[in-house]
Amino acid sequence: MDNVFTNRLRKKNFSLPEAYGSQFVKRVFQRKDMLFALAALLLFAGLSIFAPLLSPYDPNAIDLKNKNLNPSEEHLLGTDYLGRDLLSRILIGARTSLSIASGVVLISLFLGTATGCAAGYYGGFVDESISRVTDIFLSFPSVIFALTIMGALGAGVFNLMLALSIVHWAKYARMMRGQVLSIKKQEFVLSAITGGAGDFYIIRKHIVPNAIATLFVLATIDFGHVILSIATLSFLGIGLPADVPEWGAMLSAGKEFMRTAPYQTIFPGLAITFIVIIFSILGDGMRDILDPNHEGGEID
Amino acid sequence: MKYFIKRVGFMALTIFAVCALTFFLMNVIPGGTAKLVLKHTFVGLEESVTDEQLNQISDKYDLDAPLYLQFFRWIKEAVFRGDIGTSYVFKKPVLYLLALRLPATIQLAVMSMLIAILTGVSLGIYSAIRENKISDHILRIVTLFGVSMPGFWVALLLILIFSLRLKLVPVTGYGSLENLLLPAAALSLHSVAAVMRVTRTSMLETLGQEYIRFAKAKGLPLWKIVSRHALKNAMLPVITVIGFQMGSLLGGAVVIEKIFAWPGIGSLLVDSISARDLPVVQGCVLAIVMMFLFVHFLVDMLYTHLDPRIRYG
Amino acid sequence: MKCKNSPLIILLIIMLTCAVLTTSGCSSKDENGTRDAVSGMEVTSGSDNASQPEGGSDNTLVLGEMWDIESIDPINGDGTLICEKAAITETLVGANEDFSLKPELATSWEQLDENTWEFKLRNNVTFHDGSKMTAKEVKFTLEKVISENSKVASMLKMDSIEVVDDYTLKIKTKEINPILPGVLHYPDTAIICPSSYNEKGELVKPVGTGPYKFGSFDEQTRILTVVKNENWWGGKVGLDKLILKGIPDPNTRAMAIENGEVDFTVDVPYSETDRIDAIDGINVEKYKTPRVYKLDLNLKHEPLEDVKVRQAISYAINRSDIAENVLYNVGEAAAGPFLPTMVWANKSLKPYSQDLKKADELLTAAGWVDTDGDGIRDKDGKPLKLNLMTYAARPGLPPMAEAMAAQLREAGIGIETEVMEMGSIDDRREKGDWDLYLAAYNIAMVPDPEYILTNWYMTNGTDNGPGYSNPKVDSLINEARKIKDLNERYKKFNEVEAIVYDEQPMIIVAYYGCAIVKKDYVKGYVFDPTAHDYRINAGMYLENKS
Repeated sequence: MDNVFTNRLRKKNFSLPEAYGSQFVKRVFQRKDMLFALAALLLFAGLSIFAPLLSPYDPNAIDLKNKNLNPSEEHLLGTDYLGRDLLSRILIGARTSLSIASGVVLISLFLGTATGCAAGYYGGFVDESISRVTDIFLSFPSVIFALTIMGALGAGVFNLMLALSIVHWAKYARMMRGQVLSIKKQEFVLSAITGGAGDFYIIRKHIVPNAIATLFVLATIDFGHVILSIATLSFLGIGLPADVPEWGAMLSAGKEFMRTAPYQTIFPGLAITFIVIIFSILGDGMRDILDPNHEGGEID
Repeated sequence: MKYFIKRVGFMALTIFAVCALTFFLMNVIPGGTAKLVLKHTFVGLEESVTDEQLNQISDKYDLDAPLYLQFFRWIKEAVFRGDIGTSYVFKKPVLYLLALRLPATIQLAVMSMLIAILTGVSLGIYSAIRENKISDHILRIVTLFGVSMPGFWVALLLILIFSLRLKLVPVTGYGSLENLLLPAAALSLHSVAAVMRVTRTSMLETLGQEYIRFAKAKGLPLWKIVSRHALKNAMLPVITVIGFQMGSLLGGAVVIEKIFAWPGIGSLLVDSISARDLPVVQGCVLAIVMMFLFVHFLVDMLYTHLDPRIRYG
Repeated sequence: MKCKNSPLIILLIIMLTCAVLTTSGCSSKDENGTRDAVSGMEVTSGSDNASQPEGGSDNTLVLGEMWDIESIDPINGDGTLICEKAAITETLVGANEDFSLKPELATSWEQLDENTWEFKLRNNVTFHDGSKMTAKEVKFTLEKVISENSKVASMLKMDSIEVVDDYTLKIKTKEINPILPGVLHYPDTAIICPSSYNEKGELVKPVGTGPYKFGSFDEQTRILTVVKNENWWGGKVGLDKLILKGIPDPNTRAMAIENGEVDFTVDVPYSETDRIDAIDGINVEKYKTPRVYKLDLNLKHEPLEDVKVRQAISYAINRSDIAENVLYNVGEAAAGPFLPTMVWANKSLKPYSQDLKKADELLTAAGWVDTDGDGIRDKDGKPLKLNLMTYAARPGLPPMAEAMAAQLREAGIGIETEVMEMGSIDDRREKGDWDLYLAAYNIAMVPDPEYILTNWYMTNGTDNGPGYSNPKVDSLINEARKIKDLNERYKKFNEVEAIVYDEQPMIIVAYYGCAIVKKDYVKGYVFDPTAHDYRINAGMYLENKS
């Protein structure tokens, strides 16, 4: 990770000789919004890890007599349309939502890095064909693409992850390719190549470490998009079954009760909104620190 | 010119690939096309179908042929005769259906893009001028919420507020401006925020330039500086982002059309997927991808025109 | 230079032009579409009505229909819409509230021998185009239906149809078919005039005999407009005009009636019925429709093969709790496959009521006991775990599946629910890879018990998902087929009902409900329990609509 930031900055003619990893952390601590977002993210992560301990009820326990309750002492956030405790479901839901989103982002990151790397590094025919494939994937509005795939696969946690990964990886591939192309021209890579180092060695030692930071920024921003996509697909009735405690599914299952028992949409909706805000603050902040000259828009 | 040909060639390739992909995907869906078409169109969702009925439908739409043959027949008809099939559900040519539904989607997309550009750019400029003042912060927080809330939730909240509480606009319907406003506003939310953010950033950058400071020193009023000098230079990234937003607009339109019962191709596509109306799915995807590619093409052309430094290989 | 100054303006101009073009483009298309669809008829532009439903004459009712209106083919797929909801066409045979048959376009019918039926027609009926309805048009319709609609063809089993005189018809069937008059109540068999089609045999517009005649169908907005038939044989018609708008989302329907955009709609979200009923000027009525929520049990799977386990499951379900808290009383706890109001129903059957003690006894007797204390019963080391699949197209199903799963868990039966697309469900059912399947089935597609009992309970019946087979049931149904006397026939069917009530190859959970939501000024509405969703009756009118 040594020359990650220096190289990135050198490329942009931005001289900050001591901008190393520790510097990055320091800069994060200088930004109040990122600190706040980080704290909130830790809180969410903690809640989801300890959800089974924290949740006062079994998130799937149905109690028809006590359905659609408003927040009270017994049920801090109220109950849903089958009398399940909302607080417990939101806590357990954090697990589902966050792990699905992480899964999608990690799979896309991996796939995108691998293909993007191959395209950028080898160039020529490999590049041409991989680039064309990514372009094709990118020219399909993502929700509609995911919709078609989910139609083929059917609802379910695994299928949802798969569908969203298929939709999302191309973005990463394109960005990785761009990164590799610019890193390849750098002296230390050129000298490694003339020094006779193997392709895999160069990719592993020089290219990936130097490019990955930018990809992480993209992944951070993308995280929120994935959470929103899950909710959208649930709304269209082809994401997750309503009994899976997941925020998007809860929000869309609760939509018919928006007038009579609004809390079962308000709380999952807010949970989604906050997690998306957290990731967008973190992503923007990281981008600002890594690349103060960016023009914006390229990642959105 | 060479670039142009290459570009068009690539667009054709993309369209072909997307069609093939959709065709394949729609056919691996479990359950058998003929049976689902029957259930959705003729006998009712829960009713059973007889083999006789299945054969009748399979023969009628040639569903028993090998997939690749079906696909190539479709391609052949589409390319040479301009016929992209007949809907199983509507029993009408797909092209006719698209001609009926496409205007509604384009109307919606264009209207929300207009809203996004007008409000996004003006708010962005305002926010840039008032950098780090209270109003800037408030605006940024509000837009942050705007992009972070699930679109359908916002749309439902908007209906509750503007239709049911304030009685300003109707919930459903199509045809007049008042019908268009709410769906367009709901759809534009993400784009407003994106356009605003980009405008603000690039405006700030431009306002920091030497010549702007010079103009300021000369005593030109602020609005003149902004409109005469800054805006022009700040627009490039805004145009890029508009191009990118077009894609998410088309995706978002699916949800919005569903909620507002808007007769566009987004809702047509979703319904057709569940009814296994393959020709219509194919047609909708084709139309959406073509629109998408066209907009990107337009943005790129505009971009090259505005910034001659950029050349594509 | 000035122009180049603001690329944004160029862009805006481009987009504005686009907007103008598409708007004008679509309105012209719109007109074409309408003209296409209604050539030669009095046309009212659909989109005008859409934007201002309150406008126009006072006696216009706007109806929020529950499905999208995709096409208007009266004999192949859209019969329910054209015949029952738009009241353009009418069937030969009608049905009373208890599902017994009554004359409609036919005045009487008689079974001459096993395979021959004679129908006498009403002689004062005219089509909307002014021509008289005679046996010739009826023959045309029925022949057209069986050639195009394989479902009706398979129910009618018609061999030939013969015009005896202007108002008498003879229908020959391929085999004995006692449900024939009942099938002729099915909306897709409604009588249409040959002038509904052009020379090429394509549908131009449905021309029927009903209280309302076709006005226009706007293919873009999918709004169907029908107007009063001044010369209806049945008497006075209440409304001048009826506008049907497809609003498939229940939530949107609720908001539309609350906002005054529709005057009449059905099936708002069940949870909203009480709130909406409380609103001034709107009332909600809950009815039962001929449809049941039923749970199929896969009898090929070991635990469910045992009748004790099936009965235990039935005893573990709290039907009234489900009806009250999941369906919000739009629906009712059910006993057998037929509504108690149906003339042929076995009225002695009562719904299984939840009895966990009995369920426990039955399961223990079957050998299922919780030996490892995990709350799930087991036998020979195998836990009693079942999967329960359902679909989301009917809003009551997924929450009902959830609630039932919770109730069964109380009885020590582990349930995993899955909400799937119909395609995946069909796939799983074909492979036999399922335990329980919750669905909402129509029980009076044809107002006759034979149709349902044959399909559901006979060995290899078309809807016999569980794979149930009982020789006694088979022979009872076969015997009944030969009996002409209705009461004797129904007795056999009552016996069948009693047997399957004991054996529970399918667990009938609840009767399907329908919530009719209408403005207070809509008067004269009479709910028809035999309609497939709901029926618009000629007597409906508006009183002092402001």
